[in-house]
Amino acid sequence: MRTEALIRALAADASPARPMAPRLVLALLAAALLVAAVALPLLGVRPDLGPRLMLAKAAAPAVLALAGVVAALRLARPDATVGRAGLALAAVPLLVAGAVALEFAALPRAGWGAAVRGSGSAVYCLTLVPLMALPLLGASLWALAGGASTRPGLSGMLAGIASGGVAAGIYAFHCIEDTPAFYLTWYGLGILAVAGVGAVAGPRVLRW
Amino acid sequence: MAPTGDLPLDDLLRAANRGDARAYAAFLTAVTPIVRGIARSRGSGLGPDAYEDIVQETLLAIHQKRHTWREDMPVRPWLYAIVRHKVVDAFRRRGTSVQLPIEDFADVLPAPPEADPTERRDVERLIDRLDPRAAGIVRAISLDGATVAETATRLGMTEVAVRVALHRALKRLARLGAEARA
Repeated sequence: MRTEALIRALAADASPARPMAPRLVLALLAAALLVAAVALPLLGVRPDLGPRLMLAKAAAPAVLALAGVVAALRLARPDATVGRAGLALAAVPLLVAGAVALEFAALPRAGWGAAVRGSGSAVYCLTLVPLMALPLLGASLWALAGGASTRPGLSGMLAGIASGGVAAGIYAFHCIEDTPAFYLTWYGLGILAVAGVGAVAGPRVLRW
Repeated sequence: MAPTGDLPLDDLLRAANRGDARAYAAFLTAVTPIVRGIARSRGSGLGPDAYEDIVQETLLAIHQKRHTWREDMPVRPWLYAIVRHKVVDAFRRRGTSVQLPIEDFADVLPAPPEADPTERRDVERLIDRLDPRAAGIVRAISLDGATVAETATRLGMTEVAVRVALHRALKRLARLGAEARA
């Protein structure tokens, strides 16, 4: 087939372009609602959860998820880089680490380990956050496959950070732990695991 | 001939992304010699028909990803990024690694097609792998130059059904192209 003939077929398929952002946001939102609707009744929402505590616990993963989405959307364009969204991604763990430093400063050294261990729900946190994040990761990778990332591993990792962040935010409704040290350690590890899965899946799923 | 500045290509793709088929055809026609020039200047040891295969695979990719161009950005960096990705990929799948420094793309001369005795492109082998009706629609519009309306009448389908089938067929072709020889 001559190339002009192919161009005729492509031109006949001209249609208004569908932007990427709504597709990714809607996919993530739908998956998040689904996960929350299944997981929260099963796990139970913590009864003494006040708005201030909730805000404190959900803010960091929410900002992380938002930065992950923005960065992944940027990278879905072939000629773009992550840009400033990368700074926001790095700032979140640093801010939480700052809170941990304040917490540790107020504690005797012997109490640090206990603050990290919390009251024994670390295993649940570390299992449930990645588990709840998997449907979100699937949805966001599906949406990003419509993009044109030239760095699919990094794009997958960003999708993993966004998905892990949203899942951690949902899990926080159930989580009984309130120390920043627990939070940074176990939520952080859970989100990192999801980011790792995304980084491995990206090059396979986001090929074009 | 190919436009020299950024403006014509930008305008053409902007109109195309609003659904203007004529502007889109003009955009792809203007882009083709640029893609061909880059593929030809970078590859060595591949026959002329391999270059044209790479050009067509790249056009399919541009088609699938045209919505990732942001209208407030210049079109050429976007275009070069897609071409670079597909040309590197195409050479890799043909067993030749190639270095493509993107800064040099603007200096590459657009290239006309070379005489090609077979004209049996890889894309046609991919079309063979579509279901017969989808393949028929793609061939009618590309090879016979039929319009969507004529194809619909010929096949006893609605125009919308032909458009949807064409859209899916091209999407599948692009996917098959990215998977071929992987």
